[in-house]
Amino acid sequence: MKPIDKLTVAGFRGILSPLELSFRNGATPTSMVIYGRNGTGKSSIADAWEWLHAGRIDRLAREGAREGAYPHREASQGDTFVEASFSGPRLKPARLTFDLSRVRTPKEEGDLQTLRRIAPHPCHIRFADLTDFVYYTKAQRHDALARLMGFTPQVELQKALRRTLRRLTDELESRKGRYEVLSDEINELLEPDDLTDSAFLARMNSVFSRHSVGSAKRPNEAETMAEILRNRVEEDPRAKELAELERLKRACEATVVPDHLWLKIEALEKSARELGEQAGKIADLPLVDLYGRVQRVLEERLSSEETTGKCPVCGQEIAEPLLLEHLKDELTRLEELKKAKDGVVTAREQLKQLLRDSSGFASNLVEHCSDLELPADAWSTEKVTESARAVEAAIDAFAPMLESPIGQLPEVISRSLSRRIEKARTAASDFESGRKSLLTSLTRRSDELRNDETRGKLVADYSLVRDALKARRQWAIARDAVERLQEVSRRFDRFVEAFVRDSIADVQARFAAISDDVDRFFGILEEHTQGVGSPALRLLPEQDRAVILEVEFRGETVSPAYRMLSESQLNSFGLAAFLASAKQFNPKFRFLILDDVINSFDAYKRPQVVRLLKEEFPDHQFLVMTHDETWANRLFEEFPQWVRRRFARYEPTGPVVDEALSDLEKIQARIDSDEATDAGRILGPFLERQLQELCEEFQALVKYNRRNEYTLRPLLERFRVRVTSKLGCTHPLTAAVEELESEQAFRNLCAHWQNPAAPMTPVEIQIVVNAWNRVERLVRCPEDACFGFLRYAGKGRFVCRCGRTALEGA
Amino acid sequence: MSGEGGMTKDFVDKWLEEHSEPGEGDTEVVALVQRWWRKGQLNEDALLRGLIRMAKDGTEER
Repeated sequence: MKPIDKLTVAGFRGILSPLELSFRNGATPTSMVIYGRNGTGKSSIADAWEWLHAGRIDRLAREGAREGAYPHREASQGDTFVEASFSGPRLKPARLTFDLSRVRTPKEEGDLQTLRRIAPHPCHIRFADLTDFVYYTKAQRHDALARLMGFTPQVELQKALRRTLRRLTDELESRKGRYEVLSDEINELLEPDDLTDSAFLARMNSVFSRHSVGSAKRPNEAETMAEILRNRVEEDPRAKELAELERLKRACEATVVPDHLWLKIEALEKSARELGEQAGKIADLPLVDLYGRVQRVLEERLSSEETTGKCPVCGQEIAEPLLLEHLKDELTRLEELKKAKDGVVTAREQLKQLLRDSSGFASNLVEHCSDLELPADAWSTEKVTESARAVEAAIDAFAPMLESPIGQLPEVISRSLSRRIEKARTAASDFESGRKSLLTSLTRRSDELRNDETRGKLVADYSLVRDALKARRQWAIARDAVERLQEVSRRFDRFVEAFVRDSIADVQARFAAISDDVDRFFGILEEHTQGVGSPALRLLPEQDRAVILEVEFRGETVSPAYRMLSESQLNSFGLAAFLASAKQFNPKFRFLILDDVINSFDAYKRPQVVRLLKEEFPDHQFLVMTHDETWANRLFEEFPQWVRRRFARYEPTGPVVDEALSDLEKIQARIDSDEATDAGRILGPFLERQLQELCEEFQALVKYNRRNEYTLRPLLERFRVRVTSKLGCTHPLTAAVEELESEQAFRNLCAHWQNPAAPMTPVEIQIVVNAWNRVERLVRCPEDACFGFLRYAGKGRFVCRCGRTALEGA
Repeated sequence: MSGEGGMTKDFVDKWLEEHSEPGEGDTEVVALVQRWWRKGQLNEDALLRGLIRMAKDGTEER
């Protein structure tokens, strides 16, 4: 049973007024063809279905359009919805209504969840899904395949987990950096051989023994010893002052603007200048690979005379310079652009790293100044701390600018970098002069206080112990933080690897499950391509998200197949993969939307698509949308029981829909309105197309005509000869063909077809149509699922593909 | 391969559910990922914060 009864779309994308697509032909739901030129609103139907079925529209998300872009701009609250009604009693209508106040949480009604459960695989495919599959890199092709085969959610999670793991690793590295800085600080203070407890305590105890304060066996005992030393310093005001001054002096010495900050900023400025105006063309960079490939192909295929024409990449008509020169120039330009962009990326990352390392530039100095225990008027540190804060603010001000997209960075830099550099240099210069002045004063006073050697030694040792213990405490905290984060990182890494491993196994299993169908479907689509077959998908597990396609070409495996298959053949493969997946993974919901999928297929391959649908999907319901009138007519002829709609034009409220007529219906309508010339204009090509196909299927020998025009009579004549020779003079088909051929009206049509000035009457057109209908009834299988022309099966028999209808001589 | 025919729409949820059983994986990490995996999207910032907090206090973010 065909599952969809009606699809209603309102207030969504390009459709404002409710658009009802009823799949009923009489009382029975069937498939539907929608024909409409580009821009008439067909794609909104596929988008609407995707939103209803999946809750989001991946195509739009990839282009940066999120849920807010779904409603028609004139739609009010509650006006934007998609509803599907179903044909059986199993499902109640499923509806999704957009909520303007909660754009990411639409209102779900009816059996929507049940629909999503019984149809877990995507039901729709667009032409863009197939083209994506053709051009991209291995990872992008994997993602395109994920869309065709419906494993996008797990691929998206896989990518998101990998990104989170990378960020976690960055965080770990940053903490390790902090830990190493603290290790260096302790090393600088104590110069121990290692940072173990025993080495640290040995070094501390050597200091404690000089002042006879005991010996520490554990780090916390060292804290007690340090307290005793502190009391001794406190008891001597001059010693206390010296200790404080030493502490401040070290903080002052440690707080310096990194020299290479200016170098890194200059490097970014220079690279951004080199990228300059080209920055706006960064979006062209993905074409580098394509230009390279096209250039290689054309160099092999084009002779030196064939060097002008349309560029297959940019679409420009190239006269001067010659086509290969144009490709070469474009490739050179893009490679230079890539080099310039990479330069900016590297310079930006180096500066960002330096800014991260310099964050909290003033904090150490400010902290020391704020807890100094010195007479209030003895040392004014406010000026130097203020200027340190100004430097910190100036450094921090660079960071937001660096978050601009690369394409905008040159402009942002040229607009505001020099002003920020000037501000930062001024702040750094002010700070440096204040710092030097303070250091000079501190050193002078320290030297005075050190006159007493015992006091100097006591203060120096106390300062050493105090700073070492503080650094040691921070070091221990940092070490523990690193160890714990390392452990969490390992656990998360194991989780990610386990998920990726199982996800890959799932994808492999999917490939295996559909491989026979893909092979068969591809075989049908490429029936007329000699030597190509047995397509297979291979995952490259050692490369994340990499997939290659293999085919056999004349008995040899070609891997990857992209080297050999044309765009159209790759599209055949993509379509086969999608249809096989939908058939395999949506067994309980046989509904498929094909949106303009035959765009790259030549005329000879389109009947193969019809054959594929008829033979492999007789129980499926299709919604086929196309802007190609010839293809639409073909579908009307091949599937007369399908509902046909035409999007005649687009108005601000949405597509204007009417019933689409087949060629024979159009002819009848013109006969009825006395428009014989128009009717003849349609009937001539129609009959010619039918007879061409019949001659091919019946294997009639037709005289070759290089001009390939006005072939109606020779085609019908050769067809009649073939039918007569195989079925005999008295067969009803022979009689029907002879009747058509002998009609004066048919001869007039042929004359009219060659020369439109030759008059025809509606009655004559009607005679030809009636005679043709009698022929067609005999050469076409009447079964809905088949409805194809009979074809020669040998031994004087003509049989349809489904085998239920046959003709043979007496 | 999970569930009927490896139906991918459910693959992630089913996989997380299976690995949230004791002995099947790191239940703390699985619970955290489950918490931030909603409607086919992962809230990466929240997951990262949760992992860092897990390292900080040794317990899963609640």
